[in-house]
Amino acid sequence: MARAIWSGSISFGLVNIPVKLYSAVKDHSVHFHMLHEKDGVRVRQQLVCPLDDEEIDRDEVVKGYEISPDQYVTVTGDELESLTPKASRTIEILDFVGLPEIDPVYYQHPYYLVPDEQAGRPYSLLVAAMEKANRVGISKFVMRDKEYLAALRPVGGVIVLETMHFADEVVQASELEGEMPELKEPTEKELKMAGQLIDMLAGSFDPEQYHDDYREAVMDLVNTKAEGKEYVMPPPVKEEGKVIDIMVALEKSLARAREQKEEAKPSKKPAKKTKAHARAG
Amino acid sequence: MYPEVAVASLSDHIKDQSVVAEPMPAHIQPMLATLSELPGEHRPYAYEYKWDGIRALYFLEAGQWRVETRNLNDVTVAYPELADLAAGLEHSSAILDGEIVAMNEHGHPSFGRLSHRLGLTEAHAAARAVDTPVTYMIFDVLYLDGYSLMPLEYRERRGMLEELGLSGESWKTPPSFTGDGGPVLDAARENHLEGVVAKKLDSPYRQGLRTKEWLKIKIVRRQEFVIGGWTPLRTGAPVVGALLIGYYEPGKGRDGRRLIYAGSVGTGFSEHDRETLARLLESRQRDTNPFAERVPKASVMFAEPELVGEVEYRGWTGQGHLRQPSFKGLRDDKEPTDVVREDIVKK
Repeated sequence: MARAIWSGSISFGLVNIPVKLYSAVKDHSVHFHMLHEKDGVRVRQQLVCPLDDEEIDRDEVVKGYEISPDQYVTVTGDELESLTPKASRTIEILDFVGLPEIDPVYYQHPYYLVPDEQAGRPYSLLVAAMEKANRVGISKFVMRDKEYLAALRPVGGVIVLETMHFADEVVQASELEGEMPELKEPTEKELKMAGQLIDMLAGSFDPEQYHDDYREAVMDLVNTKAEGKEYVMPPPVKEEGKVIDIMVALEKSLARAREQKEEAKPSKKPAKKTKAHARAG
Repeated sequence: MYPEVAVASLSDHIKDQSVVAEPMPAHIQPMLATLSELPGEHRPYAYEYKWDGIRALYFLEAGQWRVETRNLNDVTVAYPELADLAAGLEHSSAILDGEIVAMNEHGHPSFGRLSHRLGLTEAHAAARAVDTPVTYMIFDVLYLDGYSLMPLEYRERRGMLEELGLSGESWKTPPSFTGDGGPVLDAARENHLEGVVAKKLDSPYRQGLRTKEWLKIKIVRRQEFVIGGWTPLRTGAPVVGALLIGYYEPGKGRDGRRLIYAGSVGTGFSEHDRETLARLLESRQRDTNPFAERVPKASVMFAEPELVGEVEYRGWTGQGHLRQPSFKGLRDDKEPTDVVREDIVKK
């Protein structure tokens, strides 16, 4: 069941199109918990202060930015919160550029933009216009206190919003210059052979044919173990105490409540109380 | 339980033919209660505590046991800790009716806690039995040694249930009281139970029916909360859709005490209330979140935590949010910083 992650509106010039954001990908990785091998109990992580040599609470922790070795400027959650960009809920298109101009290294995470009920017309108009002009919209928007750069691409009548890295996040290939060995020009013959190898494996892009073999192997292992009943049983924790506690507490509360009720009837003779012999188990 | 009336044993019932030999039913649809006010103290009802858990029927036949829920799902593998109950029964066949409950960290029954045990396969149940142990609260016996007890009156079945003396590490027989249900409801309220069930003393067990012979009296709680934000009823309109409410951590003064988010309340307002509240909150508008943690809602308008409102609710979820909250009005007689979570603070 798809659920919208965020809602806002696409805006450029005087145009405003209310939309909802849906993730275009889902996580299929296998998740494990950490158990103590000896007894199969889920382990807990501790925050420890080496100076006090004791466990501390998460709310005793503050963020520190290292401005020089071992010198920190501390910042509290509240201070950071006061800086967060105002949630304006607009995806502001700044430029329309040609799709091939954007190197895929900039792409981060894809989302689908779905128009609100009444925004169908301006939405499909934008899609058609971008397709005709063969251009994509570069925009900025704020989601969950973070500012994003994003490309709005028309794909089969739907706008895909692809978040992008900012320029200063991308390592330019030229920065690898020191790491690359000397690259020589290939010969005609070498090039021809390589070309033939490429032709042999040439085909159209069909993502369905590629499987996450590792993930499938891990799930097979887990399922086989479960069917063979090879699972871990940690020792039972005694919680009978809590149930006994509440039943004792109820008895006391009841006795008090009955006493109060009796005391609230001063004019009555000490009449027969309807007793309830509760043989509590 | 009823000192005036001697409880008949199974053999007595067999002799006077108030029970009939019949094969054990494969499934039983549990008897259900109707929502009601507490009956007057002279009405012929017995009162039992209402446990917020999963209704479950326990079947024992020829050494094999199983557990079924209200919609007849077999959940035996999910509750391995009930295996020893069969041994404690000392009868060849039996059907018990009860509620499976789990206790939260405050020692109160919590449906939220129990939800971790739902829908488990055998492989997972064993592990879950450790970190979320359950207790089967038994409140009726429907079948014993080849005879159905369902035609018998509640008082008779109750007597026989108590004779069974079922009490073990993971199962108990909670008490039943006659007379005035008021103190029983008070005791339930004080201990944060869902409420009380009143059962008509002469009622047989009516499979699958919701009758007035069993009444459920739910405890409604109420306290003040601080209003820290709101969501509009319609985008852009200055009309409150829901209020975001919270309470302060206990302590003295304002310094360092966090405002804990307790959920959002969207009912209990008149159209006029919604507009008035919007005005009051807009004039207290702030950009940053006054609550200690992120609020899981979209289109939130935050406000300075100056307004206090009274909210009626039915309990707390495992995440610390209110269940079925309903707004009862603004309170100007309480300081926001004095608003704390009342069911925990008074211990």
